[in-house]
Amino acid sequence: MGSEADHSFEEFVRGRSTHLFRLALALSGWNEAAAQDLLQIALERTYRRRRLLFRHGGSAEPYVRRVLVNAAIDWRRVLRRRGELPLDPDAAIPAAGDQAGQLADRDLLLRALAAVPPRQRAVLVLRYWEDLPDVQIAAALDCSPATVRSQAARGLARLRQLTQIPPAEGSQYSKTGEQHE
Amino acid sequence: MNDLEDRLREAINAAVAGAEPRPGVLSAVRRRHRRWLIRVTGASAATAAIVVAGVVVPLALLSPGSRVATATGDGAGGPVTAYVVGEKGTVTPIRTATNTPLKTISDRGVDSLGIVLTPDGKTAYVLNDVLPAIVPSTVTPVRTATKTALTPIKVGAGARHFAMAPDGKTLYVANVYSGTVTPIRTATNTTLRPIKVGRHPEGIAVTPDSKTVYVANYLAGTVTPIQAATGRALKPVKVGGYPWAIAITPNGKTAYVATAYGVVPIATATNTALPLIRAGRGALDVAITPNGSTAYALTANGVTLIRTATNTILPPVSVKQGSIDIAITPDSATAYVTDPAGEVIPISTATGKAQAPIAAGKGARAIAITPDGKTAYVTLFHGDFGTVIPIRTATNKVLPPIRVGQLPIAIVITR
Repeated sequence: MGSEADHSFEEFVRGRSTHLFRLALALSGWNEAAAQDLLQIALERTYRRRRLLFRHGGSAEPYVRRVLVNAAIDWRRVLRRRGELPLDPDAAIPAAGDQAGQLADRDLLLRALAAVPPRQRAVLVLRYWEDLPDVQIAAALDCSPATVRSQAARGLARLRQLTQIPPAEGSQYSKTGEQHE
Repeated sequence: MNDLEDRLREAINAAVAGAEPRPGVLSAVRRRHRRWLIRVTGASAATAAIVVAGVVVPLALLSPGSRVATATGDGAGGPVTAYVVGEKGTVTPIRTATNTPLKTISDRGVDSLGIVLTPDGKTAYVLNDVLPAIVPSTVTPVRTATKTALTPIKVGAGARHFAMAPDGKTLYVANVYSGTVTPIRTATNTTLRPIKVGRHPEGIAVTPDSKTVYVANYLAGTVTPIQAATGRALKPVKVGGYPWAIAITPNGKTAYVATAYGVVPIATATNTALPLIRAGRGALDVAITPNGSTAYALTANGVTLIRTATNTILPPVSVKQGSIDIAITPDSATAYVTDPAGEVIPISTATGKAQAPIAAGKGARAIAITPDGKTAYVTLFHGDFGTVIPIRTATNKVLPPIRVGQLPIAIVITR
């Protein structure tokens, strides 16, 4: 039984670690060293529980995601406290809107995403990149789907504010009816 | 139309394209896991290997303070209750009169390591391991009367052991990564200034008069005595060989320190180390009978009894997968030792001989005995949900299992 769980774990790592690393990268705000550590933390915790997680062909991914997200949120808090990250996200982002060409700047959007508070960033990444339903995001973040929706709205609003990208006609964001500036 | 959501998706896709984790993730994870096993078991690499082969679960936090409440109180906490901590911080009370679980008190999210009670039984403290290792760990106070968890108290980084002073006024938390001990005033649930001790402080114990705290500095090979009144660390006592756990005799004269080579007694009057007592391939924990006659050293392959009057050992009792936790009856007559292979082994203090093992169930782990000595409660860290097995000590018969929510890490019982 032990070797079976070991085998499933190995397969899981082989199949999913690239995706999970990319997720960690986005969650950490493009900090590669942090992402490598986050991935190892999450996988080690999964390894500890491999017998429970891999029994009956169960999927370990929701568990790993949860550890990853929560560790990433903690991680940012620590780095911020130690002064290794800019305290004011606006300071890290060049003023937008001066040049029309910058509106489409992918780099600007990515930097803005890194400047969004970690919990909101996690919601944005899970919702728009991993395409997860709100209930699964809620499970990863230990909160309610309603909180996921409000965090997503707030995160998008912040992104918009930082990048000056206006809400599109009939987008999910404007449909939800949450207020924007 | 390029909406923000779509742009975000496209931007993240572009940003992560080609990003790969460092090669050798699998072996890095295994190395990390091994370090973690050694950290939570305090075992040598050899012992950790046994654990890898057998239990694959974190072993109980076994500081003497967290094992059994050092309660002397008057029953102010109400009827005798066992408190079981789940791996994710839940606390499930069990009424020992009826063996019924009460409503679980939840403190979400974090990994729990242990539980300790104030002597009056009014407050339980749950120790939490917070991730990542550089952030402060926390201790959650739980009001036993109202069954509510209060705001967690932040302590140092990597808190793994704690001990309640017998007077109930102060809880001492040893912080592995900070290299400090954080005292918590139980009256106000506030922390005092952390006390700098040696490298990697693990096991911690308080003398019966509550005046001195002893903490084992795992990587320094020393034990630091702390003056409780002033919060001052005294000169460390050299014990060698990775000291892990400490127990102090009821008369307060000797502190027994479990190290990777055996047990080192420290005379508390002079704070000097006495000669090493060899036990198995090193001791993981040590417990002392209430009458002070015998120290039980838990080792990777058994239990070694030490007669405290002469500091001599009896022939060891062997335990299949290694002894994990121990509880001693209030009359000192019998010690119950858990073996994760699934047995509880009763050992007679008078003869030092094992009695017939009791089949408790796979993953047998933390154990505590009621103040009347009639029932032992064993937690099983195995399977999909938490189970606690009561054992009648008179007959060594197993009673019907009690189901608790999460896999249980530790257990304490009120007086």
